[in-house]
Amino acid sequence: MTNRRPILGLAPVAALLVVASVPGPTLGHGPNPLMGTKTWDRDQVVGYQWASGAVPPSWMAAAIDAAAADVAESRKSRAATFVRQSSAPSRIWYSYPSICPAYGIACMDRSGVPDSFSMWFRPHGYRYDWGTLRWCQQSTDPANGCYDAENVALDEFGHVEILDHHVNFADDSDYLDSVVQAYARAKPRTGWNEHVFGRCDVARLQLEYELRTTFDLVSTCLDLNTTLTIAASATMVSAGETVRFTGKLGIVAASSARRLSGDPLSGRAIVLQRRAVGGTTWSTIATLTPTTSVGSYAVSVTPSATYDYRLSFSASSTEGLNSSTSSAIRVSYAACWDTAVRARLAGAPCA
Amino acid sequence: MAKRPWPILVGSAAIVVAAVVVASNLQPAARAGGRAVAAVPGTCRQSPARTANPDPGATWRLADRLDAGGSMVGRTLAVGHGGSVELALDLPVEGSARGPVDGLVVVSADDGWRSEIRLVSATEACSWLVASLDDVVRSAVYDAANKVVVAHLVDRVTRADRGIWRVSAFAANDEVPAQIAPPAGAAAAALGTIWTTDLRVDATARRLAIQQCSQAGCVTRLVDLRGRRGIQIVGRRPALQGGLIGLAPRSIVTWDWCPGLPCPILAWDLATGDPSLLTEGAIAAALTGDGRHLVLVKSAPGGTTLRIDLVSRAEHRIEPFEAGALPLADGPGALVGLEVEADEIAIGAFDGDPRPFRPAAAEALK
Repeated sequence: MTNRRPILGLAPVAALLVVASVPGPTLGHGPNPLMGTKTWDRDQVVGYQWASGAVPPSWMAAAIDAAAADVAESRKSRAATFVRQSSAPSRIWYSYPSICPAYGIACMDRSGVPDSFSMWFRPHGYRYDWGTLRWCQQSTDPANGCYDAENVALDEFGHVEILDHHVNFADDSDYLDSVVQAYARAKPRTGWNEHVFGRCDVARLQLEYELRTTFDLVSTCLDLNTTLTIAASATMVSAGETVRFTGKLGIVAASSARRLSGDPLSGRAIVLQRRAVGGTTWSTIATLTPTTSVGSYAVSVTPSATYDYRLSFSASSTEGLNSSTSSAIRVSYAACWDTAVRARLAGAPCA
Repeated sequence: MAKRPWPILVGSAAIVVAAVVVASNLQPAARAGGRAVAAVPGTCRQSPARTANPDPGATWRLADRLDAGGSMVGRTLAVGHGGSVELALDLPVEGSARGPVDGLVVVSADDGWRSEIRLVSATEACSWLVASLDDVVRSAVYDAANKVVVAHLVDRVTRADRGIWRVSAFAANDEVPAQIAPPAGAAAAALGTIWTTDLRVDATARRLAIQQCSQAGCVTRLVDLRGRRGIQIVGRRPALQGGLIGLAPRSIVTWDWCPGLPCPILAWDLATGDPSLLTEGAIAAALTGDGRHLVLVKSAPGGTTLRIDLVSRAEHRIEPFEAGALPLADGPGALVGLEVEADEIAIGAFDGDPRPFRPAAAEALK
């Protein structure tokens, strides 16, 4: 058996190494811009009530409450949720003097964040230069040209969160990337009755409020670099011994990642790759399994020769992350280590 | 509280003395040739513009009327002084009120067949029919210096913009209005469908601002009411301009184009056409009639309140208004009006009586 000299040191090494990220394709125009700077607390439950003297009719009330539920179901982040309560500091008005611009069919004031918000809706039948505002929910069989109140209310709740209007492509081909749009589409135009946040709404919510859990998918409207580190329980092994490789996957610390900066990522597929010393081809030999630590993965292997090892994260097209690989770590293999090595490294295999 | 009988415009018996269908694009569809609505109690004996004078304290309030299902079925207009209502008037859904100026409220009302423009005198507690038109009158304002009513019309069938027209305030539905500004056309091409049109006459009565907004932004045209200059367009990039706040001698003051509140406020230099930032964010603002002082509230009622001198650009924090009170906006969405002096603004709560406020007299806080 040939003795081989360890390269990285004589003790079991935890090598924390930085990564190379592969830029992903540009998706859409990116997350919605910010509206203001103040956010709610993460996962804050914000109560609202109808304003006295401006209680919406039942069909509008149902649409607004449904939109509040849509927020909770589609936020995919720790953004605030909204719940109607019998008494709450936030108010919603239907047909009432407001401070909204005349051209809006609904609007909101978020200057009270993180304590309260206000929201207003124009009444069914209100006249504009172009004609009459009709809310679809007012009728059981609404004619074309009506506006979906649940969609519009969801847009307003998005503003209340912190979302500005999405910046669409010139041809509006990415309109469905966001429900928080400068203009709502009337029935039957595509998107007129969307009742979930679009991926670019979610992207901004994730940036400002973080993921609900480290397992959640990152919106495909984002394009975030990841970092993957590697550590080995030993860099010198002899026959039959195992090495435990652990890795940590996270979002690269960067101001552009906002609150996601440096956050760990769990539940992703991380593989262990190796190559022969001097080689250039990496081969996948194992898939890591999650550990009890968030964003951490591990696998044990029993080397039979000296190899360089690295971890690899291949980003899925279902989320807005870029692939990354760890740096390489060499694990040297020998049937037995000589006395000099053993003197420097307690526990080195073989007497 | 005094409440006097008032003609109901919708459904009132109409006596059309003469009908002249005007087909020219240069004239609105109008019925001319005399009074179109029979004299009824509350009708002025002559145009109240003949005797009108500044009447600080004259006020109006517009409230939407809804049916049990939440559909708008009309509006109720109350005109008076301070807290007292002198006149109450039922308007159709397509009804507006602007002013008061010299104690006169300009009221438009469309019954689905015809639109009327009335001058309602808060001082004399009566109304005067100025014009009855086949086109739809969206809103109208009173130019007291020139004694004319300026109205925005849209086509009854297509709702296409018909431009801005004026008619003498002394007219008794016997004058064909004259167009003073065409539809926005190319000036507003980038806007797409127009949602609202706002009309403002400046303190000197030399300029009329016509602001049109869509879901993409706003564009303002300035018309020289003396006819010496062409129409100036302010804000060729509509996505930068939001609703009009007021006219200053050398600028117009607007909201930024915002999805909600708080929102920045901009001053558009009339010489260069460029906007400059007056404040990063506010939820309510009003400009004095003389264009000198802007008053704004930065957050919910009771929040930081500022006075900005548009000449020096000096900004001072002033004492917040009483609970719930905010600067009251003018414009097509306004539901309350109060006649104030040129150096004042109107403030009030949504459901309270408005009152005047003189920014220059407010103590600056340190």
